[in-house]
Amino acid sequence: MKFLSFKLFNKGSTSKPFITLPFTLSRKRIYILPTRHGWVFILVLLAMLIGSVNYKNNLGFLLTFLLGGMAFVSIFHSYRNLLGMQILAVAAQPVFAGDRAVFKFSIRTKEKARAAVAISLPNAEKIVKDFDANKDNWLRIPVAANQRGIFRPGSLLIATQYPLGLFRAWSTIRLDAQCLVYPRPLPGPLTTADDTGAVNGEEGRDIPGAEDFQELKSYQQGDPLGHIAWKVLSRGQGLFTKMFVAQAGSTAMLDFDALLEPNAERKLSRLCAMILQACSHNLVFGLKLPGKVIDPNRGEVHRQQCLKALALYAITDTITLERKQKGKNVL
Amino acid sequence: MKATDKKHLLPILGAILLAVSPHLFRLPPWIVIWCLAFWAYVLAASKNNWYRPGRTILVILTIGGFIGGLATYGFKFNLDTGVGLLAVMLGLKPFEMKTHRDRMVTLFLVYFLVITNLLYSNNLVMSLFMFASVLLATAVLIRINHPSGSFAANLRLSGVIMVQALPMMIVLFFLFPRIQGTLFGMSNQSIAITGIGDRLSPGSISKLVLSDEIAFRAEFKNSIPGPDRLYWRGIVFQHFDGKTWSRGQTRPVRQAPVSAGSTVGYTLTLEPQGEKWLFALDMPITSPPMARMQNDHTLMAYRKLKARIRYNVISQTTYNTGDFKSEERTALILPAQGNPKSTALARSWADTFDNPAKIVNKALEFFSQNDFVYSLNPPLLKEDAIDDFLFKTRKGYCEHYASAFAFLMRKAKIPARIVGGYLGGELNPYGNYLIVRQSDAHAWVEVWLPARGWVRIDPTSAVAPERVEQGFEAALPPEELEGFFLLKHLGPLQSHLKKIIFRWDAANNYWNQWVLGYSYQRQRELLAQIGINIGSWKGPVKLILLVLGLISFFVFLISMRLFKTPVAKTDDVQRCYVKFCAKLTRVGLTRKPGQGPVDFAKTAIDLRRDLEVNIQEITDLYVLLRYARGGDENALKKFKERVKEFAPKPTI
Repeated sequence: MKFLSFKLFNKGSTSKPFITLPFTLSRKRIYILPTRHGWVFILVLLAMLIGSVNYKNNLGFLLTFLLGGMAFVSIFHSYRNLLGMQILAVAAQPVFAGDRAVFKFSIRTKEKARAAVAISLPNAEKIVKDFDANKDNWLRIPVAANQRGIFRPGSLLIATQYPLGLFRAWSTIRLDAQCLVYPRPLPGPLTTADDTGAVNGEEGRDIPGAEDFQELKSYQQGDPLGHIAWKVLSRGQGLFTKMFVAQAGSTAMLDFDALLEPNAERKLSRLCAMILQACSHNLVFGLKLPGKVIDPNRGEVHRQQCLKALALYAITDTITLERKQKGKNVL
Repeated sequence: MKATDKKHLLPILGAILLAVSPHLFRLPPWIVIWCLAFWAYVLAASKNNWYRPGRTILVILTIGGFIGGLATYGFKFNLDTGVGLLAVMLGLKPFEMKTHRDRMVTLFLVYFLVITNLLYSNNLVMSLFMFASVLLATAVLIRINHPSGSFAANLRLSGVIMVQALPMMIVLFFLFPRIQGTLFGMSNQSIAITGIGDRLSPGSISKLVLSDEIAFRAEFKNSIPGPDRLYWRGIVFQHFDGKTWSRGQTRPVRQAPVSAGSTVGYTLTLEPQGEKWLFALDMPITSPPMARMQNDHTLMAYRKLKARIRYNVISQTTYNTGDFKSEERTALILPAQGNPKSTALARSWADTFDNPAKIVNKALEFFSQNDFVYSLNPPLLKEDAIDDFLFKTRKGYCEHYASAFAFLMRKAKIPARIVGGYLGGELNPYGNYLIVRQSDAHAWVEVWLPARGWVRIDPTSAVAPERVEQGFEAALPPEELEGFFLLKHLGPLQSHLKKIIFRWDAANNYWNQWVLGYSYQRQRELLAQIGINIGSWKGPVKLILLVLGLISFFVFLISMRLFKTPVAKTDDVQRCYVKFCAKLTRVGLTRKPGQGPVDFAKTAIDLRRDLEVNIQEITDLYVLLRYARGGDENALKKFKERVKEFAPKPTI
């Protein structure tokens, strides 16, 4: 039997390619070894065997072989508990550095129910869960994401000690799970490139851009709720968003180079906070990073585009992320 | 206390209690109270959030318990001490079950506790106990590894795993190499032993009569000899010191009784008696491999028998032992002093009769005609015990009669000796074997007569002939039977009870023979039968291959069961729909793999407008029944009917 050939160092070297989803736990992927308790149990059995041999106690033999047989059979039960489980997809919403990235796994049990399966990512608390048969399950594993950029939590570990706790069956899966991590927002004044003066939205003058109504545009996801033309909607004419024109002078350009912060990471954090601030006031703003300029605009897509540009600033490893954005692994 | 602790406490305590239960009658009372009190407290404390002792107090209690244990048992480390200390520890263990590790270790201790029980007793009840205890402990083990399941499910899985483990257990039990002798020279002394000892004095047989314990079982290859022939010979007593008879010197011989009588072969399963003598019908002519024939026609084992053994013997029930041998002169020796009246009586017979056979008859006559009483409660005998018995008390059990008779014979210059063993036995109709109990213990006399050799004389039969024919219960006066063998007084229930008891004993007997009696010797025989000679170098290789082969086979069977992909349960709905699809396939409308029913219906209807109504209706019903799970019996019935009626014609 294939699974009896144990592989001891199954940490998953980085050179191995990522597996593609959906992924089924197959025979070759599952490893089984005794747990610490399993080794103790084997010692107890050996003591029982020696006692039985010495005392020529046939019931002792019977008990020893019964327990040995049960431990042996439990290997197959552990194995079966994992075999055929499927990971259909994995996804995580972008987070800010310092927050916890929540990886959502879609797990299918197929026709067998699974008991006490422990699922974990490195540096995350493991989740022990029962899965019903023929059901798709969502599993959320939060992991601390401390670094701006693309966060890869590492290999997913699926393990079980069910039923007797004497053997542990496990499989490490090099999933292409990733989460976009925006810089941690650093609060401060809103500084723009063309306007050296501070534009403070909270205590200063009103932001004019939100004032001048121009036209109705059909609603798009992400438009601020406050701008929805409720009256139009109540007349049953559909969902429209009131478009406003900001005054020419209020178009803000958030410029990386204009910031006086001591290093790039702080500058990015400041920019991040400014983007959030600008968005909350529905300002039209643009972003200027060394080598990249995003034209002024507003709305949710624009916000995400800007934050993503901050997250990936000076980060080369974007290939898989792009692929993901194209929808390959996205649910 | 965490909720999980509470959840696990009761099942673990249950497993411990079941495993320790046979010990409760063996353990010193204070340890029993110690355990029960702590367990009751820990259970109540978990319910009511009472105080739970901290680590320091537990350590103090443990040390106190160990000191108490050592004070009770002394400093000898044997099985009793081990079990006692284990119980002391388990009494405190439930206080310290906060982690998964603690709970696992506790359950390992429970398994260990089970095996300690087996060292004390190994009958069928104990075997059943063993399986029950393992079943429960394993269910609890599953529970602590899978806390969210129901306990019934835990028990069921435990049972499944146990059943799947049974074939492997059986293979290893029979084929795991057994050894001769013990590993460290330790052996098991704890099994209580009763049986006929190496001394015979008034009371030594009658005390056995009160025991209903089984001495041995005998299976006969052919018919069972009549009750007057069922004298099971065990030990011969040669020396008499005026009160007690003891064994004399014997030496191994190869000779068999001189006789042309018919032989009877049988297999005896002897319970351990802690002595060397094996029992066999008068007279054994073969000796089993673990014993040697002695010159007094007894079978003497090489070692004291501490485990149940099984052996074959052939006996001749009519025999002639031939000439008197000089070494048998001890059969004439008596103490010079004492018992003057008996001596005078014997001398007078010797003077009157010239033929020893006549003296024997005279003596038997003396017993039968002088109001001797067969009794379990004879009066105490004073100095000159034989005189006292023969002329004063005249009340006694078989050892009194045998002793007095042998004494008289020796005084009359006839060689005589006492044989200790069992008489009779009870036929178990469900196994066709005889059960011989300790209560069948008996003592009789052998005298040497010219031309006939050693002849069995049972003086008890002169006093109470029923003893030989029907067993001691028939021979005893009714008032002496009160109190034991209540079975006799149960009236019509008795026969039913007797049946149950016989069946139970038959089960015990099979278990003893096939499981408990399995040994090095029988393993060799078994292996020889399947062509494995463990002596040659090929033997072990073949044995290992056989074991691996069998285990692989069972693994294969288990895997088949565990890993078979349940063919997506084709329930009624599914089966019907498959039928419907097959009908459509016949007219050229094939459902593509992975195509949903609604999609398939659309494609089919596009191609065959004429079938639109039927296809649509069946598909709607199917979707309702299968996906919306909203269908009831009527919908199912309708669905089946529609599919049955559906008969699309091929397009021309």
